[in-house]
Amino acid sequence: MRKWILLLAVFLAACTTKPSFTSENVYVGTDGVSLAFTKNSPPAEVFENSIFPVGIEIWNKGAYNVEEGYALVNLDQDYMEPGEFTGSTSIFPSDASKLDFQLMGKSEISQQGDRDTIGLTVLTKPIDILSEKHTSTVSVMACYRYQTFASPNVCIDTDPFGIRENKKSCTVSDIPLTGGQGAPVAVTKVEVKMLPSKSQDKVVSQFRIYVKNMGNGQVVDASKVADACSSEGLTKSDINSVSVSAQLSNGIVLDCIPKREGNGGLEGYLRLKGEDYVLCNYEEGVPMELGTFKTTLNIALDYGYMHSISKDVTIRKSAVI
Amino acid sequence: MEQKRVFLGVLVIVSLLIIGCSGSKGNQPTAVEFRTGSSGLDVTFPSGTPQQIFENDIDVRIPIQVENKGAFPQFDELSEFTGFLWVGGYDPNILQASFEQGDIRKQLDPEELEGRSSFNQQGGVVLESLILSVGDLPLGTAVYEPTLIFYLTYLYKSIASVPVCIDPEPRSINVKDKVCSLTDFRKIYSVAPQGGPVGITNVEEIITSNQIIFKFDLQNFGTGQVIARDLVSSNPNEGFDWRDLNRVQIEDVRLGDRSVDKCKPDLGEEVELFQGIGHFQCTLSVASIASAQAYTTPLTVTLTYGYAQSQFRNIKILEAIEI
Repeated sequence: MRKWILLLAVFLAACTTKPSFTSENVYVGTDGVSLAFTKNSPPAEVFENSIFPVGIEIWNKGAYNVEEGYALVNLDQDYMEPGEFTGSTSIFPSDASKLDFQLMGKSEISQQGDRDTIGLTVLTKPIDILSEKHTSTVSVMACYRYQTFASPNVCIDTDPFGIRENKKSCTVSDIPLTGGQGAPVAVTKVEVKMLPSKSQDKVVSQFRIYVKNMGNGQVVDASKVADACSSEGLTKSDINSVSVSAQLSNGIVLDCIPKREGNGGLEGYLRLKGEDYVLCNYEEGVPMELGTFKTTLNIALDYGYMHSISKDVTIRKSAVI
Repeated sequence: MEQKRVFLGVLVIVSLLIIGCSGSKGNQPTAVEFRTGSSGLDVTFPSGTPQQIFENDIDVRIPIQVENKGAFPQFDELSEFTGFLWVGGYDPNILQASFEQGDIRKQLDPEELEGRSSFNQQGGVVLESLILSVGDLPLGTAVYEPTLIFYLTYLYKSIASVPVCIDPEPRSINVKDKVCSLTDFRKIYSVAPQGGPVGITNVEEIITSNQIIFKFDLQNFGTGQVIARDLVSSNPNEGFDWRDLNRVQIEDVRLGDRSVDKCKPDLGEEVELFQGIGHFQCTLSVASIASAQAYTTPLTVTLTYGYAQSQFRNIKILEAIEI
């Protein structure tokens, strides 16, 4: 009898739990590429004149595919020198501590994003004769080109003053965007305004797009990513530089200001200071005959990003026998 | 035993007679009052109407039901009816929406949407199909959620028939029985809605020494907008000029079978509604009344107008997974 009850309970449980397939929006979160040392790599203590591994996990937790990424391992050159990368090949033979990487971001198929683990062998040098130990820092810096895509649904009202009577399917309003879009630099708010056009049968739509660095790294110019992870260094104008482009509906490119100096295109340009904004207009105007409707505002931010992790390693003097 | 049989037989016959007689009363035809209610045409969505489709879906059919809950047109008024169903509220660059023949407008068939009548107490119903096709969603767009707006624009007619008291000698000092009378030479008649979104609400009758004055109050009972009759075929998504709104034509006012002498605004002209309410008045000379006796007769008012009514429907368009 008990067996039958048990079987029935299992059967009911199986029937009530229906398999479900849910579609997850991957354009959320404020993570980009994350770095982490693997367990005990590097170890907390090593001996002089020895070898130890540095294991680095690079994980693309954002929604953009990294095609140009660099990882640079910084060592205290007086006490350590890099050996070889294991599991990967440096494209810089003269700079054995730097390599490049490409990692796919989150997608509907891979909702976690791609990750890779690389290893670098490090050789310790002798410490001072009079010292029993010396503490050095091993740091890893990642520099990569990234993009943020935000596509809020906005309301276009071709009769903003209500001169003509009709029912409207949406109301023009500002749109707060919380939680990020799957990248460290995020669009935080979009302010929408409808302005009269010079031609009486159209309305100009204007969007104020607010951008903020939500991650704990540094924003750099997208074209300076390789320099960021090298001895070349960056100039002041390379820091906090973000290009902003916006499209309304399916392919209507908006004109954004401010612009990069010397750039005559429609793209906007930001020197991020906390939260900053660009102003984008559709100057040609939306025809009034389209009435009031919702559409997508497709915003793309193009930038480079760099951040680092570090760990202290204590080098002990070898026992003299 | 024999007596019992006789008794049972008589009982059965009497029961049959009673059932037969009571059943016959139920077969008497009854008059149906169909010019009631304050609705005209209405849009509804049958259960199971999809509210979620995917990127690159082609020719998805959305059923839309249009019902006529009012009393116009009757079978002899079909040629006077014009109506259209429209769709809007979406971005045409992302979503293509149309009815059959690829238009955002569908002309309604008056035969299918005949008004409520003695023969059809429900009113006509027609099922239309909206065809949706979605292209590629812009990069980075996981979901696009437009609110579709379905508009009905149609020409409508409301007919109010109010029994009023006509007393050709209201100030007579002769004593006689009257079938009806007006206290202090005036009377107010409340009128129920007449099977349309616009109708008469009150009629005030005033009898002077030489005139009978009828003052009418009319109202937009519905949730839609009264529009100019010639705008019924115009795209409501573009909006209407406020000067073209809230105008109802006084088509006819009759006392019994004769027309009133004059009205203000006149017959054929328009009354303007203010905050959904309008007024007009008509007069009839006492001298033209043939009878010397007081009597009740129907006062029939026919109003024609254009009407625009809308219904919203949310729809979600999701990004397709590409493998």
